[in-house]
Amino acid sequence: MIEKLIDSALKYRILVLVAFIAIILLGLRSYQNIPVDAFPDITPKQVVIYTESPGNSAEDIEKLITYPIESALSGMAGVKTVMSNSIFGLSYVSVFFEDDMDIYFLRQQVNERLGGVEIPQGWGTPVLGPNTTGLGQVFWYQIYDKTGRFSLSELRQMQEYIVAPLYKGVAGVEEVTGWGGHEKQYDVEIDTHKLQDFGITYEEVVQALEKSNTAAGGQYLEFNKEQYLIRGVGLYSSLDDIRNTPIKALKGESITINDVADVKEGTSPRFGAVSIDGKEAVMGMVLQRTQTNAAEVVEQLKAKTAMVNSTLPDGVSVRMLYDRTEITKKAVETMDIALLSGMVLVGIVLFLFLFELRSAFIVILSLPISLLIAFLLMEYFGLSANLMSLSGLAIAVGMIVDGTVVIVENSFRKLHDHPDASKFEVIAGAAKEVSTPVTFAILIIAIVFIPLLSLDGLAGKLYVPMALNITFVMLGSLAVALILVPVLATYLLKPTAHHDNSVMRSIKKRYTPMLNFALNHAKQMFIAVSILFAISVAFLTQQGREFMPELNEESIMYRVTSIPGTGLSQSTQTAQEIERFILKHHGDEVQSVLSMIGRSEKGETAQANYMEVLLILKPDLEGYEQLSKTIDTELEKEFTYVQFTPTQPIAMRIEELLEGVKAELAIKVYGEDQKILDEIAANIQESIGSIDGMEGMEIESQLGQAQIKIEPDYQALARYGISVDEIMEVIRYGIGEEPATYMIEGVRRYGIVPKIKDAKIDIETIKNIPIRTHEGNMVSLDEVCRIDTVQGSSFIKRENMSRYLVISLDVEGRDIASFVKEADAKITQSVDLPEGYYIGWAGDFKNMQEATQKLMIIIPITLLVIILLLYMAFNSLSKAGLILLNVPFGLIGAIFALVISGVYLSVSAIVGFIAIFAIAVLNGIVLVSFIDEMRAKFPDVELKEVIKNATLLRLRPVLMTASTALLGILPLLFATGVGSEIHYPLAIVVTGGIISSTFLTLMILPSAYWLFYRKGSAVSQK
Amino acid sequence: MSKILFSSFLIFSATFLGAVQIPTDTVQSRPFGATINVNAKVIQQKNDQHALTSSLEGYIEEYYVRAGDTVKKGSQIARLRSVALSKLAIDYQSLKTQYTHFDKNFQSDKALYERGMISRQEMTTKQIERDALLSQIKGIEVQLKGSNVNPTSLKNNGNSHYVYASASGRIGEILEPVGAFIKDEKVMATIINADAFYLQCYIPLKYSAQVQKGQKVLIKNNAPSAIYGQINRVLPSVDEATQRITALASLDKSTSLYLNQYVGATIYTQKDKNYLAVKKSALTFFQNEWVVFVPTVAKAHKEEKKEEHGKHEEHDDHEEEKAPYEARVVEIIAKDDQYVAVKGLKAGERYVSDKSYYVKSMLLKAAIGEHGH
Repeated sequence: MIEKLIDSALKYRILVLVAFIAIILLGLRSYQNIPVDAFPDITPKQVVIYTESPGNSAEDIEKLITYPIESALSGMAGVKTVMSNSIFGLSYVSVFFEDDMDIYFLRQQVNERLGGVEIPQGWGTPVLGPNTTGLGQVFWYQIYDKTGRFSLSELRQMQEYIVAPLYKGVAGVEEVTGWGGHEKQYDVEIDTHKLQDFGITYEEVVQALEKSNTAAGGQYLEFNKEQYLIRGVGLYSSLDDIRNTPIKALKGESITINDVADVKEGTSPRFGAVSIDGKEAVMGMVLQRTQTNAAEVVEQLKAKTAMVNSTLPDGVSVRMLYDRTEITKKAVETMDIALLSGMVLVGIVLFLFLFELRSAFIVILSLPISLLIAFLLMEYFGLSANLMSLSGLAIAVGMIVDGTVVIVENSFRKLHDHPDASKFEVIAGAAKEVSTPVTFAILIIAIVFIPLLSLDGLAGKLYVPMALNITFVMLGSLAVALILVPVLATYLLKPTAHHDNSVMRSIKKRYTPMLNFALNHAKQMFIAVSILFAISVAFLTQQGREFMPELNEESIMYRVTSIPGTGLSQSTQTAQEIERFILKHHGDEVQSVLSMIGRSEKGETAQANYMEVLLILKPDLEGYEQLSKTIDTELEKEFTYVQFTPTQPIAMRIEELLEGVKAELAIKVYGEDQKILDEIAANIQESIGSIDGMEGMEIESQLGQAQIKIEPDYQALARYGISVDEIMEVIRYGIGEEPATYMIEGVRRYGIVPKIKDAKIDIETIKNIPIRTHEGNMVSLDEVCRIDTVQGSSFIKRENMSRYLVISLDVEGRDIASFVKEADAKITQSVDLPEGYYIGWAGDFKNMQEATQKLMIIIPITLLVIILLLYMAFNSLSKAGLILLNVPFGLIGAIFALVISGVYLSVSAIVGFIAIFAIAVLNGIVLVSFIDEMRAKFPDVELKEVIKNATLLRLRPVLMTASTALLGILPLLFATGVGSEIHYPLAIVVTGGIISSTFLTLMILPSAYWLFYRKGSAVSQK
Repeated sequence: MSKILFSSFLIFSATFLGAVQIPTDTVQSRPFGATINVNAKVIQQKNDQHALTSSLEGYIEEYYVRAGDTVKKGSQIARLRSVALSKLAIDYQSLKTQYTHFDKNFQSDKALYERGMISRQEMTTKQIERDALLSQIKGIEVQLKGSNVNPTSLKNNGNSHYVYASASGRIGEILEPVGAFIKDEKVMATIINADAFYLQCYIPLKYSAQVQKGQKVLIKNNAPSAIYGQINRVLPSVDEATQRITALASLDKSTSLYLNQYVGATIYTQKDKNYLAVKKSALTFFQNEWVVFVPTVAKAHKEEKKEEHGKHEEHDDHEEEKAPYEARVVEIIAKDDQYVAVKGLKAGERYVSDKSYYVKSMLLKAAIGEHGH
């Protein structure tokens, strides 16, 4: 079949050329069109439901909102986990689904289920979170007022009503969230003494406001054959309208709002703030919809910015703060450089080996064409170009040429051997001769990576695109090698005088005595290598492990946490002090410092004690790693009352996605009572605190929130004839500033808040809020309620309907896996867990564990598949075994490289090991098949001699494939740009593996072959 | 382990040297009294109000004042058309005429008598008749004078009767409309003595034990200068409608106050008790208790040492290991604007008087673990 393919290709040479030119053009177009991103989308299939419930405590929100939502959703098909967080004023439920489900279908399902959830009136409405990914925050901007004319409240209105709607119109934008500034509202500050004076209850004021702000349609009047529409226009349009709202008539005179309250513009209580360079600011964040192209979205946003600016008042403009595509560009740049330099290096080495311009040209040409085919397939399968998928190409660069090299080299040799024969036939013959081993070799490389496709979870999302791309590019190279290369060879190759160049000759001269020695000491060599392998495996088990090396985003960011219950104003002050401090000491490197305090407008679970501080660095800043370390230390020293956790914008979002745990390693303690959870956590801390490698431990303080608890005293209420509802109304509106109605100004809506004047000065003023009964009795709040200050929950986290507490661990100088093992044993031994309480490990580590488990299945399957392929190729199990022996040869170098460089064993490194499988097997095939061929050709020659000659003849192709593979990966090893650190372990492993595999293939495999077949050889028996 | 020790050392030495200065103060004894914010009504005792009545009944023809006008004693308030006055005037005039004639006769009779032409008895009878007539006139005169009518100015048809202010003050309310017929005891209007306002304070029952006679009261209204008062009397019964204790307070002035006006008032209860007190800014809620932070002994000692030895510092790791502040649980007894009276601290003890938030942060961080070092 393959031979027919080659024949037809040669027959329709012109057609083949045209077809490949078309492929090149299409591939170039795909290269332009493929969505570009820094990372593959690793967001789990997740639907978020958040319910804003202003002013309500975590405990009540858990009971009345979170629990009903959780129970409605937990029974859905495809649900993996339901996680929730109830905090002050917000219920946040996140449902994780199986990855293969359609997100729109899921959102619809969740929405349907939510319809059946009953939440008490006035407690908020559940809303689906934006349909975006963890990497969705593509663009951050500030509403920048150069003139200082506008208040924060005005800037916020610009953001909310001018900028956000315009940006929302951009294709691919799911949501634009504002953060910072003040939200305008209309305060109706009620003087409770005046209520008494006029004999009005608080309830009556609220009702008056609600009832006076309505509009109605009165259909139409037909008059003189025309229609006149009738409108009742009763909506408030000015502050005076509110002031003149009648509450009730007293002796013919009407008592209005103005008599009992001051009406003025105010700002609503807020949960978040933004500060830039020591000044409060207003910012917006654009969230990209899932499955859209970040680069395109950002490009369009930027294009629209000029228009947005033109609609803003003079002196106000949109200023970009963070653009996620910048890191994307940098990451893709890193990969592009790696690819290009790989190609150049491979080209150079090919030329050196072949020492012939024409054949080198064909081989080198096959590189970009294979890559373009891969791009074509990427576009077809909807793969984005990112750090991971492009790395697949970079890894494969060195192997792409293997098939081409073999075919070109064989044709070249044949042309040299038969200078008089028809060029066409010689090349056809040469190509057909090696077509089967080439096909098998390339298939093996592709197939080795295919089991990686079955990885799921985070590892799957990261490494499947890489594996897919390797497969794509290898298939592309196969097509190029079998179809295009013979055609090109007929046009370009010419018989030349010599085919062994000086480089090869000198290598051969040194290699021959070594080979002789190896063949003469076959047994000893074999044993020595076995011992070496055993040692390396022993080393490997001791090697530290991690899931993934940290991506360096070339930005400095901190998560800053102060103690629970810290007020927003204090946090803002802290943030501004940090900003000023950084600018004062590092003004040369840092352009701007941005702090996001608390939470944005929409559904985030951060509280006022949490800040994210991003340093916007000056462009083209060098040595930021050192800078980052310096700033770390300085901040820790200066601001002792808060905790700093260095992070990076994307890393932070990814960490958040990892089961809601923002740490590499964490222990989750499950159980109902938060106090007991706290105790268990303290016990755990005590028992594992001194374990080696424990650098820090942080127990989530869920109970730090001071609360003023107002509990109705039913007897007292009955005495005065006040209902609990009335009290709660006073708490909700009068203290909690919930709008009773809204002022509608065009499309803008501002709350009208009947708040009690001077109620929120201190605890005493709350206690003394007077409440007037319908009978005219006056009581203060503490006469009818028990008012206490207590320590309550600041938040309540639940996973699959069970509360839990997180202990974050910081492990350094030791691999996490062994740490977990030791810590787990200690906890089991010394911490007594009451009934219904249990612990679990979480964080990044869990991903590693899952990935490792999966790989433990994948690797044997890979081996099996290779054996099968080898068996198919050689029709002999012992041959397959012989070739497989090469794998340990590769592993020895790979492991030693890993151990010596001190790089942890990560998924990236494991992928490197898998690549080594392929390369080692390939080396083996090249040699073993040729020895077989020679044995068949010269059945009378002594086996050792055959092996020796065959090996020497095959030295060039083996060295060539090895060195192209090596040089292909080398740029990844020395890359320094964004994302390079992720592939470093892989590059280390592959580099070490190729070196050892090639060396040992050339030394040990011939000996092993001899050991395997010396008894079966007729010549040796003589 | 040594690493952890070292990092804790870092935290605490930074406490002394770091950016945040933690101010301290000593616990002192202070007199305490509560302030009670109440609703109050401006009232007047009835004996400070003058009722304007007419001594004569009649129809009100005109008022010369309006409600709110300030009047002096004796100034004209209203004019009445009084039938009674007309009658009196007519009676008076006729009696006067009668008397004139009578007196003429009497004088001629007296001459006759002196000549002996009339008997003594007859003369006496005439005199009695004349005196009776005169006393009748005098009676009407008194009556007229009592109604502020000058008998000499009376005309024959003079039935207008004027009502004059009986006291200085402001016209409170005009009770009868023009044209109304009023009887002589009926109150037409009131004159309010603006300098005699009282404050009726409605005090929540929970303060019953604290409110006493003599306590200072401050009126919170929009007056340019503060108005103070003093509680004169705490009434024995609560106000039935509002279920509040009522206390009456006299005021030092009453500018810009109006009768029946509701105002907010602050009652300062007596500062009769002394308590150990800390600044309000020292208080914080920590692990379910109200606490005040105090420097630990080591730290206090160290500070003294520091003062003695100037800038020379000796680091002793064992000393550093202890947190420099500890939380002292306190019970709050009383509060005023700036200070809280607490139980749980000793007199003269140093405490963190402000920025307790930072101390709390450091302590909580230390308890959580030395994260991030």
